[in-house]
Amino acid sequence: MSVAIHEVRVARFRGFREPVTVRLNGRGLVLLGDNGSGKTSLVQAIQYGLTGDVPALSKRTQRVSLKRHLGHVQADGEPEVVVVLRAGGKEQEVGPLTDVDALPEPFRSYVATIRSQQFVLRRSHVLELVEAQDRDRYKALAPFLGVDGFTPVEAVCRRAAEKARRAHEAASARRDRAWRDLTQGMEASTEPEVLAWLQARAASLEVALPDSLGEAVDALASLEEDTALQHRDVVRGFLLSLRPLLDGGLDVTALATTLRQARSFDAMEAVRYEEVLDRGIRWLLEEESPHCPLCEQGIHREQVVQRARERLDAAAAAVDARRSLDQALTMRRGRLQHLTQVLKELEPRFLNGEGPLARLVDAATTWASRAKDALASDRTTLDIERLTDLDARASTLRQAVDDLLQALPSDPRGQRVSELTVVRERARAWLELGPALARARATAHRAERLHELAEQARRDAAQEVLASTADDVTSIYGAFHDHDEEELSVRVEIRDAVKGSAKLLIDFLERAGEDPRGLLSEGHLDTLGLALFFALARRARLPVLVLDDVLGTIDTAHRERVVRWLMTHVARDHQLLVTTHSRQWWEWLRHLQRVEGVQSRFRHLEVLASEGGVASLTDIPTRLEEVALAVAEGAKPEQIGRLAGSVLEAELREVRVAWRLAIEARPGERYTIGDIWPTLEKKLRKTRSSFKARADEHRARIEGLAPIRNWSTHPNDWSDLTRADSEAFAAAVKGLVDAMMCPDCQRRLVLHSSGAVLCPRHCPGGVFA
Amino acid sequence: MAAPAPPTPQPAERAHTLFLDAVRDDPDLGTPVADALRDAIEADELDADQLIELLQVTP
Repeated sequence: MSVAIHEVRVARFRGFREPVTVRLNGRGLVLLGDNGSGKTSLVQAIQYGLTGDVPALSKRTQRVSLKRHLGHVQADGEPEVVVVLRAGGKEQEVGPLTDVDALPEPFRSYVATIRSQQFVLRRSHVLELVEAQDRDRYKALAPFLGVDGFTPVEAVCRRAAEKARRAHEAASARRDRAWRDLTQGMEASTEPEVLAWLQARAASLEVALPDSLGEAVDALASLEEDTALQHRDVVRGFLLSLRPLLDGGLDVTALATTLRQARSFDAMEAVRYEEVLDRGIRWLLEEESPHCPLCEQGIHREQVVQRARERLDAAAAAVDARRSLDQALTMRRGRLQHLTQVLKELEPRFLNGEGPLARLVDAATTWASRAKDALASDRTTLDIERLTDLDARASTLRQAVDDLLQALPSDPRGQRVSELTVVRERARAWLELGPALARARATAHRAERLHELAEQARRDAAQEVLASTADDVTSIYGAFHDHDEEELSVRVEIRDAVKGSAKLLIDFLERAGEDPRGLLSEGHLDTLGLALFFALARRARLPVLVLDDVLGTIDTAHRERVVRWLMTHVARDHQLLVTTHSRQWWEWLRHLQRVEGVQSRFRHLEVLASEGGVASLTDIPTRLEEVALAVAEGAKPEQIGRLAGSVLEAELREVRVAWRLAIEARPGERYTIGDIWPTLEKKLRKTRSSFKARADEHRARIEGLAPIRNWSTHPNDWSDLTRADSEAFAAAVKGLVDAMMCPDCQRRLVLHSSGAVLCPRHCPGGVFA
Repeated sequence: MAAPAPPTPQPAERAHTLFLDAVRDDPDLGTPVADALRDAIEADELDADQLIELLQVTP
């Protein structure tokens, strides 16, 4: 069951501002239109509808994008494109967002095939395929090679290879840093040299290390437990914790001052004294008697109040002093308890018999015990002299602590072990990074290899495509130029899949492996590009092919061969869409279609543009339908006349080709009705066939209703037309168009050199001798 | 005018086949990697991190 494009519906897309429906009915399409008329817009609509992409927009530059440039510049709302496919009696609408996998067969296969390869050939592609540098040529070829489907796998492999390489570099850098740390300060640049360095220093500690760095590191760990290093660190920690407890001793000077203040008043006495003084002051202030209430002696009120207040202040100070003394004693007792605890916690194994540490611990323990006893007394019995003596001893002890701390680093064994421990830790870090580095290296190597294989697979698959099409390219190129295939053969070699480089080579006569740009003309290079595209498209069995304005540069001599080949080799197996701005090309296509008998496979539309974009996209039957509709709907006579005039003008252009009317050439083949009509009239008068009678009635009515002029371009000339005349004119135009067609097959009749007017397919009803 | 069923594999499928065959034949990668890759590609679950993990765990 064959699938073909049946209809394209476009709105607000590129050059299409208003909704337009183009019916192909499964046939090919030839679009004629000036530059900017909207031909490429329709091609892009089909491309967008089927693939969801317009590479000319999405792959151009950052400033050109689908999002920004897909919609019509003046239209509001999102662009809409629907491509209606038909297979058998079934229809399927496809749009840019269609999920291919959700489509039913055979539509799924059709769209999947279309999306797998490039089916649109633009003028720029032809140049890139043939005339670009090798690297750019690969980029130009890639969309036609059908390997894009593999690109995601290759991209994942590339990203994985990059990630694995970065991970390997990071692991390597970490290990390098670890090695620099390890060998810092030692003259070693290899692992055996580091091992030798460790062994030499361990030997000085009477420790033999194994002949492997890893084992040596483990051996050093056990060495540490038995050496003075730990001893030293523990003792250092002990001494450092002991030092602040001895620092300042019991601070007897401060304690003695507080004690003296506290002893100046008896606590009970002071309280009573405070009460008496307080009452006395209140009495003096409240009573106005000049005599003392106890002894009735005369008193000096101010002096007594002053003295009483001084005594009261002294009593308050004494109370504070006693409180401070109690706090000071509590604090010192706490420090002594902490010191006793520290002394007890030092393990006996570090005391080393009669050594200085043991002596220090003994002395400190004794001192703490005596101090505890001395501070156990209350403030009335506290012996300051004894405390002063203890303070002096504390100072001696602290000096002993400092001496020991000073002496510890000078322990050569401890220093050596310390040094070995640092190197051991660094060696361990370096060794531990080894397996991680090896894993990272292996992963990076495998990922890189995987990426190479992916690139190689893409290259090989692409090269297979190119190799399998080389003969076809040669054959097609030969058909375009009528060359013997032995004279010229073409091949494309992918030289570099990674950077993407494809060399186009030809063997021409005696010259082998030549760059075609050195031997072929520009026109020949263009046809070589076409040959490449067609060969690749045929191999890919692409159901639809689009030639977007690529035929314009081919000269007249080769035109017939190229078009004949298209008709016989492409139009039969592919839905071929061709756009051209050349009326000459358009007519050649129509002529050869007729000659090759594939006319019914094509629909010819002319694209007419106006200010708002594509104005109409019609052929003569459709335009006649528009005229009939205007008459039926009672449109203004002026409008009916203008529409019918434009149809007549289009019909006359077709007749010009079919009847080979000799008309003075016009720039761009833009013939007007004024150019064609007089020549056609002459021909009609000369012909003595029955066709004259068939057409003359309509010709005469047209001539009588509207004089010869370019009706479509002079709308004001219709302003005087009556409704009856406009309808008569429309009927005459339709009559003439119908008269020009074969009554049997509806193909346009042609004028034979004998003067007979005949159907190109020789239908029995189409003979007007 | 329609597309007959392609008699030969599409180039992308061909590239997949060539790729997996090459991975299978590679002494550093081999069949386990090729099989794991094929499964991941068919499940459409292949990303760079998974690929690295796959390379680390496969023998």
